[in-house]
Amino acid sequence: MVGGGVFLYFAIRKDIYKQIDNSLITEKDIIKDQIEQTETAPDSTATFDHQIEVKLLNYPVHKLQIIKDTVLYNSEIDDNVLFRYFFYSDNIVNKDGYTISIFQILSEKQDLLGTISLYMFGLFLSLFLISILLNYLISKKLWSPFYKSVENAGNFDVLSDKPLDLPETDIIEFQQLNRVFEKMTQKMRVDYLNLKEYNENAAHEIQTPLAIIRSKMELLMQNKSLKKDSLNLIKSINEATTRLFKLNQGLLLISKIENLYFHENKKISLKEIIENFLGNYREIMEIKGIKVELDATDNAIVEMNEVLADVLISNLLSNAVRYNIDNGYIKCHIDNQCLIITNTGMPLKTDPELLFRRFHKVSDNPQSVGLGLSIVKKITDNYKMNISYRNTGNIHETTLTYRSE
Amino acid sequence: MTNRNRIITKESIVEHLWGDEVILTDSFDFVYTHVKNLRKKIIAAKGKNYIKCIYGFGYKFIEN
Repeated sequence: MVGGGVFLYFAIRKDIYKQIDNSLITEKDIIKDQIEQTETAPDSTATFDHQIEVKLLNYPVHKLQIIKDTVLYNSEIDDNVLFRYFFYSDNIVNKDGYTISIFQILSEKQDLLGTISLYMFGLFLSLFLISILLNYLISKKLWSPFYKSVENAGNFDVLSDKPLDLPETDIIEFQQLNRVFEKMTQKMRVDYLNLKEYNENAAHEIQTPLAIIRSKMELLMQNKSLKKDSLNLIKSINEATTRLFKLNQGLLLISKIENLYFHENKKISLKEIIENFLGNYREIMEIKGIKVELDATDNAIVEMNEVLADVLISNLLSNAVRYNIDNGYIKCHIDNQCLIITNTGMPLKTDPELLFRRFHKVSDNPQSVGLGLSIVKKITDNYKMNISYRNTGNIHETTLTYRSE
Repeated sequence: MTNRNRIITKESIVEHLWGDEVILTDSFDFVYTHVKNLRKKIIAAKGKNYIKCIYGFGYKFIEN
């Protein structure tokens, strides 16, 4: 549109100049005819916008024609005025020469050109704005089914039995999109149900032989005739099966969290969970001489699954107890924004970034399966909480940031 | 007493107490502590030291 406007401007300008030049040439022809017929020059005329000057010479000249723009000073308005200058020189047949000079004002034409250009610009701008508005209104109506489909697909809940609600549309491409969304969400639901079923089956199937092994081991260890070597073997097998059992439980828990198994939420008081845990571990902490400080507000309420809340807090606090030093301390600060657990302990010998990864252990304890903090991370990710850890010498600080009610 | 004269592993004790949260246990310090306290209380009540530690496994309640 801009290009068209510029083209139109120069086209009109060219046409104006052409008309002026043609009129100047016509005037020249009339004057030339008169000179050649009468061998006299017409009187020079001069008005504000048009001047003609004819000179008869007493010597021959070269034939010449010049048309160009020029500027003349006008004392009345004390300004320069743009003129179109026409100069013609020729000879009366086999005789002396003559010159014709014509000045045609251009300012008015320029003003006209400017006005036309302004109106054209206004017209183009209006057309442009109207086309944008029409385009917007049409697009809005046209694309409404698409946006509705995308919104509904984004709100799809894999836990729900209801099929995806997609708007009817006559546009073939949107119909295709709807079919893709339906197919995709159906597959998601089927995959989710299959995985859920697999987890439930795995829990039962793996735990059953494990339980059998452990129960038989317990029966075996009751045998008083067993020698020390045999007892040591049984002890090793028992430890290995216990570890396997805990691994299975841990991985299943992580899988259940990922598959939204724990989807029933309620308002949970984190302060109560912490107080329960500290009560259960009181004797352990007394034996190790660990001092406990609890700074908690009653409004530290979060909405989450009760089981997962318990697992989350228990895991964090049990680490603070387990890896503490004799006569150390544990400080818990909890408010409606975050829980901060600060405890003493041996300096961390591993990369803090690895702490929340599966199977990463900070101790050589064979009973540790290295899943505790990865379970914590999975829970916090599930509820869009943030867990962070930092260690400075003998001080460990774990911060859990959550959205609190 | 249901399990008299039977070795009860510390793992069994923990699973009985904590259920699914057994995965959070890396050590059995609290089992040792609770059993130690239990022994003290039995002895303080003029009872005998019925609870025997079976090294590497757990405990046994010795009736006689």
